[in-house]
This record gives sequence, C-alpha cells and structure tokens, in this order.
Amino acid sequence: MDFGSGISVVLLIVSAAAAVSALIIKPRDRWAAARAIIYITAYFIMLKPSVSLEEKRISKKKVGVFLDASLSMSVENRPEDAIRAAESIIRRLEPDADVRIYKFGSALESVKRPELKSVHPEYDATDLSCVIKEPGLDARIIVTDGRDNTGVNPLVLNELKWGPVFPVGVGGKEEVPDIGISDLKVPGFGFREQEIKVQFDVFNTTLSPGRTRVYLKEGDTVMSRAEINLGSKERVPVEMVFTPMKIGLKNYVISADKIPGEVNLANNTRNFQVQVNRQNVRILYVAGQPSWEYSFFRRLVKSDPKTDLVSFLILRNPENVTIVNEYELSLIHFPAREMFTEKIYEFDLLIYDNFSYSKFFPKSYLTHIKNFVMKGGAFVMLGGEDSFGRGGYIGTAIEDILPVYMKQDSEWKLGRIPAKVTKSINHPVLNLANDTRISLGVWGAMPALEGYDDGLKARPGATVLLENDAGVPILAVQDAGEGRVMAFNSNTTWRWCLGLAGQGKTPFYYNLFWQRLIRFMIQSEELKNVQVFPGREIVNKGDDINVNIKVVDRYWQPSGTADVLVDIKTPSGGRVPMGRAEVSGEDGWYNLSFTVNETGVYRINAKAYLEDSLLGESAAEFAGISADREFLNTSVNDKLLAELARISGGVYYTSGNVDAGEISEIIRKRDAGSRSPARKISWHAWPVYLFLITVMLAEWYFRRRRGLS
Amino acid sequence: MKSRGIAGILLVLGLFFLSTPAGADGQGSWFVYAQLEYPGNWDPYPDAFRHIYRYLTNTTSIRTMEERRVLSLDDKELFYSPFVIFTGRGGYPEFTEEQIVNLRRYIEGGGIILIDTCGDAEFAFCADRTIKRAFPRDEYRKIPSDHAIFRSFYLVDYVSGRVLNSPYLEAITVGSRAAVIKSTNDILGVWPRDQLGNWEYEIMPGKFGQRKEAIKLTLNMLIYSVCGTYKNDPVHEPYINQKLRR
Repeated sequence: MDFGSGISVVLLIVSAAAAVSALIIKPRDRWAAARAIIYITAYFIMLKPSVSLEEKRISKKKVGVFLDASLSMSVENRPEDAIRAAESIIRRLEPDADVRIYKFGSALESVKRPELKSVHPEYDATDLSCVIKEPGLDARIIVTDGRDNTGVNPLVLNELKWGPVFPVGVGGKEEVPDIGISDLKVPGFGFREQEIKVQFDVFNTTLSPGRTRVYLKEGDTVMSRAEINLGSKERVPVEMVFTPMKIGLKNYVISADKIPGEVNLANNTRNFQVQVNRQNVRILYVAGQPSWEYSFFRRLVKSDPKTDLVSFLILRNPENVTIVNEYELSLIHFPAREMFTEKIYEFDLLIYDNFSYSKFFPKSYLTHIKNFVMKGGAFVMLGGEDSFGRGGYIGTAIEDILPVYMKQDSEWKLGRIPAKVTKSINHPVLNLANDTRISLGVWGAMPALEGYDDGLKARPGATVLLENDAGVPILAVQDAGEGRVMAFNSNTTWRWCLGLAGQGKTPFYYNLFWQRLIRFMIQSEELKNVQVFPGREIVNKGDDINVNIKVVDRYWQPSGTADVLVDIKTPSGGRVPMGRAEVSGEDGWYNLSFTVNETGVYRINAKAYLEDSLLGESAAEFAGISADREFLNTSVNDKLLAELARISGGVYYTSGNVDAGEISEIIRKRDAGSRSPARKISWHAWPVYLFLITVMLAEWYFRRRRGLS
Repeated sequence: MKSRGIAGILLVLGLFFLSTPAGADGQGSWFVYAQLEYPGNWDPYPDAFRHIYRYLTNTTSIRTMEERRVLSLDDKELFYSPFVIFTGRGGYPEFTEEQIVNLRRYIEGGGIILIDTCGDAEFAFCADRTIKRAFPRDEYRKIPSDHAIFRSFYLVDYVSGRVLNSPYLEAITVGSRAAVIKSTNDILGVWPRDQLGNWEYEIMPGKFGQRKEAIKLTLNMLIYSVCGTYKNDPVHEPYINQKLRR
C-alpha cells in the first residue's frame, strides 16, 4: 500500500477529521470521535502503509582527475608539470565537487590526495580506455601526453557518452633531440635469393638538422646501410633492399645511430619479421625411359610457375642401334657425375622413375643421394620393371633410406590395381578434399593404377598411405635424417589424370595429389607433423607469451598422447627452462607460456615423440622488444586529446593554459546527477507506534480527568 | 647417306626379335599404339604399327606393347591410351554426340590424337568436321619448326610423308600441348613392307631423304607423346643448336 502523498497528507486528514468533530459533534461525542479517529489511524498503520518521497536537491559532482604515470611522462619536466597542473585543478574543484584522484598507465589505480606529489612514471604502456571506462564519474580530467599505445582506440568507446572529458596535454612544445624510425612497410613474406624491399621513414623531431646512419641487420650481419641527412622537423622516406639466403621466418632489425644529445633511443630501432620461402621448388627428375608418367607429370609441373623442373630421360640405352648419323639425333650426354656428385644439392626433390643406375654411373654416386636426403632433401622412387630391387638398389645407400624392403627376384606384375587408402586418409597427401568423408569418396573413384612390384614390404616406422588388395605397399614414406623418402610402387599415376577424364571429371585431383605430394616431401611448413605457433611475432619485454603446438601422428590424426619436448633459446644464447608442453585438448594442441625477459630473437624448437620414436619437430621464432614503446614517439598527441574532448563534450587544454575555473563551471552547468533518487518512508517504524501509543494514552488520561468513561 | 640409312633399317629388322617385350594384360607405362576404328576405311596400313614398334624398341629405350590397341570412341580403353592414331581413306558416317563428348574429354584429359589423312581429301574433310564438332572454337595452327615434335629424338629436316602435300604439320593445342596433330602427307604410308622386306608404297615425288625424314618424323611424334616438350629444356638447347648449324 502506498499513499504516495506523504506524511503531511495523512496528518492533514487526521487533523481535518479532528476539527470537524470538534465543530459539529456534541462535546460528549467529541471524545468518541477522537478515539475513533485514533483507532482508524492505528488500523491503517497495521496495514503497513508507506509513503514515497521525492525531493530535489543539488549534490556534489563526482569528478575524476587522472594523472598519466606511464614511462613516456618521464621525459624532461613532465612529471612536475603534470603534478602542478593536477594540483591546481583539484584545488579549484574541491569546494564544489567530489574529486577522486587516480594514476594510470597500463592499469588504473586510486591515489589519495596526500600521495599526489609522489606519483611518478612507472607503467610501460598507456591505456586511455581504462580512464574513460571508470564508472560513477560525472566528468574526467586527464593529465597526460596522450600517447595511447595499447591498441584500443579510445575514440570509439561508448563510455565517452558518460560525461565530458577534459584532457590536459603535458609536454607539448619541449625540444628534445630525437630521431626515430616510423611507418615501416615490410612484405609479410619473400623468397630466398630474391630481393626484398623495405620502406620506412626516419624523422627528426627537433629544430636542429641532424645526420645519422641507418642499418638493416639480420643478427649481427649488416644486410644494408644508408646515410640519412635530416633537416629541421623533417621526415625522410628511406628504402632499403636486401636478399635473404635462407628459408624460414627471419628476424631483422633496422637501427639508426643516435644524434648528439639524444636520450630517447627506443625509437631508433624497429624489429620486423619476414617469412622467407623457396623462390621455386626445384625438382630433378630422372627416368629410365620416356613414359606416359613423365609426360603427364611434366605438363603438370611446367604449368606451375613456382616449380622448376630439370629432367633427364634415358632415350637410348647402350644396346639400342642407330640408323642415322649422330648429328641427326637430338640426344645429349647424361651428365651423371656432375648431377649426382655436385648439382644434386641444389635441388629440393629428386625423382627416380623406373631408373636403373648401373648402366650410367657407379654405385658410389648413390651415397650422394643418401647424403642429400640426410641433409634435408627429398627423394621419391617411382616403380617399374627397373626400379627398387629389380633396379639393383639392394645393398646400396638407397636401400638404407627407402621406407620399404626390396627383393632381388621380385616380379613386376602388370594388370590394373586399385590402390586402397589405409588408415591414412587424413594424411595431407591423400586428404585431397580436406574432409575425410569426401576424400574417401575421391579415392574410391580414382582409376586403377597399372603394375606393381610384388616384392616390396614396408619397413617398421614407414607410413603406408596406399596399398593393394594383398597388402603390398603402393605408397610409403618415412623420414631419413633431415629429409624424407617416398617409395611409390607404380609409375602410372597418369591413369588418374586420363581415367578421371573418362569419368567426365577434370584432372583436378591428379594435379592436387602431386602438388600435395611435392609440398609434403619438401617439408613445407604447413604440412609438418609438428607445428609451432607463437602467440605473437613481437612481444614486449616483461610480457608473457603463449605458444601453441599442434601435433598430428603419422596418419595425420591429432595426437594428444605425444611427449612434446620444447627447447627455447633466448637471444643471449641461454635457455628458458620449459621441458614438456602440456596437452590442452583432444585435438592435438599443446601449449606453454613463459615470460619474455630479453630483447632479440627467441627460437622455440619442439620435438614430439610418440611411442618413444620421434614423430617430428618444428621451430618458430619471435622477437622480444624493449618495453620502450612508450618512447617510440614522445611528443604530446594533441590530435587524439582534442578529439577526445570534442566527442565527450569537454575541452582540451595544455598544462600551460589549463583553466580550472572553466572546467568547474562546465561541470556545474551539466544537469546530469542533480536529482536525488526517490525514497520511501514507511509508517511501519517504532517512532510512529510510539506516537500513536502516546496519543491514545493522552486521550485516555483526559477522558479520565473529565470523568468520561 | 641413303645406303647407310637402309642398312640401319635392315639391322633394326634383324634385332626386332631379340628385343620385343612380352605382352601382358596391363600396359604399365609402356607405349601402346592405339588406333581408332569407325565405320569406313579406318585401317589403310594394318601392319604399319609392327614396323613402328620395331623401330621404337630397337632404336630407343621406349618399351612398347606387342600388339596395337584398336578402339572406338565409345571404348573405355580409350582412356588407357594416351596416344591414338586416327587415319583412313574416304568418308565415314558422323560420330554420335556421345562419341564426340568422349573425344573432347579424352583430349582435354591429356590424350593426344595423330590424324594422318593419308593424303585423302575426303577423309581429311570428314576428320576436320569431327574435330570441329569436338572443339568448335579452336582452329588448326601450323606447328613451328622449333617445336619439340621436330627434335624429340631425331632432328627432322623437313615435314615429309609418302607424299608431300604440305610442308608443315598442323595442330590444335590444349594448354601448351599439341593435342590434335594433323599430317596430310600420308606419313604412315612410308612404313609398310612386303614379306621380303621391300617397301610396299613408293614415295612421291621422291625427294632426297623423303622416306627417312618421314620415318624420323613419325617416331618423333610418338616420342613427343611420352616426352612432351622435354627437348625444349634449356639443358638441351646449346647441343641441339650446335647440331642444327652443321
């Protein structure tokens, strides 16, 4: 029950009733009326009536004064200027406002009034959004240089509608000798032995002209250098070119020599990374005779500008006759010695197609192929009558690295053989549709191959991807040293191309199969069993970094039971003690985190072991940089601060012209927060009961005095 | 020169029986001479393939099947035969739409067709009509003299055949591949021999080296189908150019 009109209304009714009874009722009955009124009132009160009261009052505005305590505020006299400005504002506002004081940087912290003088630059980042998001304030005054550097754009925050922001810019016009590097533009990737262009600006913030030397380095190696003359307040665009010689994610540094009097060196260096890829995959293909397999393969790789194919086909054997003069033949000498003792190391992938070496070069040359593989090369042996055991490879260095056992007296069986996918459908070479079910359908529809060696048997540790109905491996692979070796017990994949056409399909899956096979064999980063993903490529010193590691088994099933050993090398050559990465889920992800305590390149190497054998390893790098992002640009960010003020309805001042009176006046005029909330008054309280009891006793007493019953 | 060529040919014939590969129910990656059969005079030189096989196996490292494969455009074996000869004399009834679709799929899927018109205008007309139906937007173009076909094994001096109707070969290319190759010089006509080893058909007009060049060109076309543009690789170029300058 809520009467809503307040206690005065009720009392008015009671009084009116008493007055009426006094005027129109007989004296004897007046006491009865008074008693009736009292009991009726008591009855209402027992029903717990309440009344809601609302009153207008002017309350003190809550004003936050935020003092920037980030490291960039340590330049020159900024700490003193900032505190001085804050104190003058607080002094002026305190009589009319509830002033709350904070310091901020990467976080926000409340400060008591007496502690204001002791606020000093301590935070390694500036986050203006934490100021704007602080609730319960009618206005915010921010004493800062405005160098927000956490990546959150404060101008887009909805909280700017909460009340006016009055930025007070500190450090605007000081002349600090400083040059720096900015606006770095780097391509995300490049190619080995191909020039990469880097563009950036070298700026001079001072009025004095300067001269500096700029270096581009990989580790301690200077890749490029330039002399830069800088005019007063000038920004000079610079372009540097360098040529990476190794593949992988590479870290580079651009640095500018300091100029006289320069204190802030943090913006004199910039780190960047480039993923250096192979310019082209280089394939050496050697075939014992011209064949459909070669011609179809050639068409495929020749249509790919990222693949270089060098091939040698044995067009004529020593036993073949010649019916024309030599000069009518287009044949050239097979440079076996040169290719297999010297040039082989220039290739990424070597393919032998039905090739028996013994007619062309000595067995010792095969050792170079083994060495090539052990150092990271890839080797594929295709089948045929002159391949594997029939090609004389038993007892050679090739036998040491092949993923299959061979037999000397094996039979080359012709006939059409459907190649069955083993449990390896998720292997990147076979998962052509990137979907297990669809890929199984693709392989179910692949035309049969023709011919296989029945004497091959998979070695322990080899991964069999395809086999025939009798369990003879058709496609098997294993790692050897740092390289990879594949045995393909057929040389008729051309059937997949032409046969698919017979089904009314394009050669898409034939092409994709070989493209995937090549990338897998040369160990393209995206097709490794173990992949390392640092959470960020560049990390501030002192920050934590999360590293995720993906592990799949030999059949490309996510593995959550691997032992993942992690070795982290710090820029100074030390080690971060990590040991094992912890599994983080069922899908083969492992993770770890650690604190970055050095600047420079960290290298994370992860090795995954499954059932005590090495599944694979991978490495990744990231750069630790100085937390001095605070000093990348130390001039006051007028533009941002003015815009903050404009959007929120405040005014932007500098520490030299701040007008605390104007701020006070603007805040006072704002209506927000002036009306106090409604409150309810309940009758159900002891003073009310005390009053009623007193009235009733008084009425009883006076009745007794008058002799009334 | 001429006597040396003939002596070589006789030697090849003698070696044939030493080196003929065994047949099998699959072909692996061996070369198979496939020939298109259709209602009409589709086989003017039934024994040409045997002589071609002999040359191939005795002068090159290429392994061949023992028999030729005769097939129609409906035949599933078409897609096991990356190289098909299409020859004949006179006209023939037009192929069905399904057959034309198969022909187009075959060529686009990687197959190569060698059309030898045997110098016969009526067959040439019909074959052109067939190819036009399969590739209505494509035209035959002259094969340039530096094309891999002219250097895939032999260095061919000029485009020859039993007759010399045209000084060039023509082709429809798919991608960078000469996929439909047309000769109007009766190139297969230079191959047949009688039981005594004599040439069955005289060459006309009898230009010097005409038969030998035709044999070289025939073999080159077959080898092109298994080598592609191999001989255009930079590693071969200086050697070939040196020989061509002689």
